Amino acid sequence: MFEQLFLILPMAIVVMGAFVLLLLSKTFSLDKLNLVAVFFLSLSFIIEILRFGTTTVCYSFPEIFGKMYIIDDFSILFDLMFTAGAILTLLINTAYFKSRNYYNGEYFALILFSVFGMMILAHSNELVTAFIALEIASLSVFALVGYHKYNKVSSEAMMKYMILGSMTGAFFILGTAFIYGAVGSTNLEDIAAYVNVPAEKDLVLVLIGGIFIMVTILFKMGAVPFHSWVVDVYQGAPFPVTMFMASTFKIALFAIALRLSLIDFASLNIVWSEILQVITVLTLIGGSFLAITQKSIKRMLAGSSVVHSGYMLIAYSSIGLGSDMAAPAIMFYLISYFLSAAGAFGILSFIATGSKKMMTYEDFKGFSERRPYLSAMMAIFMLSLSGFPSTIGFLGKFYIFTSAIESGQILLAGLGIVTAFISVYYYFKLIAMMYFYPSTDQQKKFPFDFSGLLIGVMAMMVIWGGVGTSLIPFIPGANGLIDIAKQAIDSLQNVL
Amino acid sequence: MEHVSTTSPYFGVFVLFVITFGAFYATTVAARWASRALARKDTEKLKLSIYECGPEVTKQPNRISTQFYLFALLFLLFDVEVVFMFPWAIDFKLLGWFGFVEMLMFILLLTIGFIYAWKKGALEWHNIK
Amino acid sequence: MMEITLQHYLVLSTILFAIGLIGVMRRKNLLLLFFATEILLNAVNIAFAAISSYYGDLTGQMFAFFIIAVAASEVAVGLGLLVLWYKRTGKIDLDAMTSMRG
Repeated sequence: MFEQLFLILPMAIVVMGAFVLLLLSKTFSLDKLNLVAVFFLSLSFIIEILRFGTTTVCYSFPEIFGKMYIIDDFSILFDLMFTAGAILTLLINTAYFKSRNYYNGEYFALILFSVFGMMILAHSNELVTAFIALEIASLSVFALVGYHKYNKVSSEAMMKYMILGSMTGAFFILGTAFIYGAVGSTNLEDIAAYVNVPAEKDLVLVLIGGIFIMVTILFKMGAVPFHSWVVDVYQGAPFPVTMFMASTFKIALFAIALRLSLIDFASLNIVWSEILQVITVLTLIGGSFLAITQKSIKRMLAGSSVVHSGYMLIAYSSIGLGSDMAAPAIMFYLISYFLSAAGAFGILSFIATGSKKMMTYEDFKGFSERRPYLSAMMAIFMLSLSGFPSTIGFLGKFYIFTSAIESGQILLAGLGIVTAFISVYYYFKLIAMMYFYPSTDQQKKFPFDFSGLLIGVMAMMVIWGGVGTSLIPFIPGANGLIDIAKQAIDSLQNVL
Repeated sequence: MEHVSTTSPYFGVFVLFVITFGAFYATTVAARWASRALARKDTEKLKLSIYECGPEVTKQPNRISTQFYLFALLFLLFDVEVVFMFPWAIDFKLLGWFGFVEMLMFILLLTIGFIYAWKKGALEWHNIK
Repeated sequence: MMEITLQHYLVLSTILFAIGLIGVMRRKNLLLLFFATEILLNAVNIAFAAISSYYGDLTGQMFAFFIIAVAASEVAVGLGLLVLWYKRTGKIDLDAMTSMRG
């Protein structure tokens, strides 16, 4: 009984933290609430770190819940990323929410509820559980997007996201109903068993259901036919929330997408890898257009996050074509994208603390003179996002393209490389603005603080992930990370 | 996939789905177009005014406070959760103490939400912060 | 008297889903958009209940409960935000949302 409870402990800690924060939200100051939130998240993070690699695949309370809630290395790795993402979001933005008057205590509770939803999503082994987890995470994010409730742009972004999001949520559950109609169960292992045994069965319903589920996942990822909300929502949301969405929420969707394609629909992958290829091409091209045309840095990063979804979709479609490398490549890319995007958005919100104007390319002119260290870190994150060698982003793209070539999608890999070159334009434009233009503003003294230090650590990790292994022996670098990713994927495939 | 065939008994459902979708969409488009095309383009002032049985149109005298909506939302939330208690009540003996404790935890979580709403002042009239 | 089979329920659910989808796409009033999403979710509920009774498996009906709860919370969050939006702008029209062009 207590062993069973221990299995769900990290998730329970997060949700209890959320309730504690909810009750304390009127009595404590924002600083204290922030510390309480970070405390609960790091407690969960530490337990997950200790557990990674030691547990075999097991289920929580199997006699009551069936096999709804699975615990394996795959889900634990994702939990680590979610909690780390939330901790970074909270710590980097300590100065930001003090500079805005619309923040109050519920902000932290909502972040924790959202993390809780994502954690169940990564652990869910059953479609309805996945739907409820997705809704818990999404509803919290809806409220977070509209957090600046007296700002018209913020509320507008939230309404758009909410309407489109709840509509696509209905698609997920419709797909689940179709699959339940065909299989008679929504458990992923039952579905896999049904799909894998070739008999005279009708797979049409499973296929249609799977496509509906994919529509929801692709929508929330921001793949191109369903991308219309991305730029507006990223712009309208407050900076910390944009950072949380771009780095953490996007990862959560790949958790369920990978689990579905590796266990559930493994033998049907060939059928929809063609659909995925079309979507990947559209996402890469459309995302590049979105990113090139923007003037504001926040909107540019939003557009480029669509392109990054496209890179991951390249590997995602090569899973179906029998590439062993593809799934670990996605995991590695998620880690590298998480570090770089969280860093870039972190710097943006760090700067936005001081000034309230919209951040455009023009505002970054001569930034290196005003804040040399911060602009160096920004340059590192931009290099990593564009996939420049010696950063972690390069290795991520390298693994992705390797997996695409391995599965014979040479054209898709080529297109990925072309879009990577296009992305150099909009990322390097920012670096050029920072370094090659004279400053227009007065030089100011900025105090040193904790958020800056944290961003610095992330920049070091980006570099370390790229070159660490070759420079310092005995310290695990990128090879260690890809091994961890492989271990997680293996734990997933051992289920069957 | 060779066993993906149009002979499936559910294929008809899917076809119907597509057809109803198309048909409804076409009808709404057609209805809009028809009403625009057939409507008399008559922008007389009296015609555009709101029909209010003779008296002149004023603003709605008794505006409903948004407080009502908040109450309704809270009621909806706590009302719907009862749905989970009916199946538990039916299988009460089967589930035993574990089910009992679990339901207590569920109610506890709801109570925390209720306390939060209370403390926030959502249950008092005209006291929304 | 015609016998009502699983097919009929599924057809009903599909038609309702299509109506809801059209509602989301064609309506301009935000309140009606939320109604349409409710129709979507309840259409799926009918399918779940019907399939559940067809298989003689109660889990499907349990899922319907969960979907009801999700729909309620979605509408609670959505309407709460809608009240806020209405207080700010005085409109519940989709056409009023034009401050951003993405």
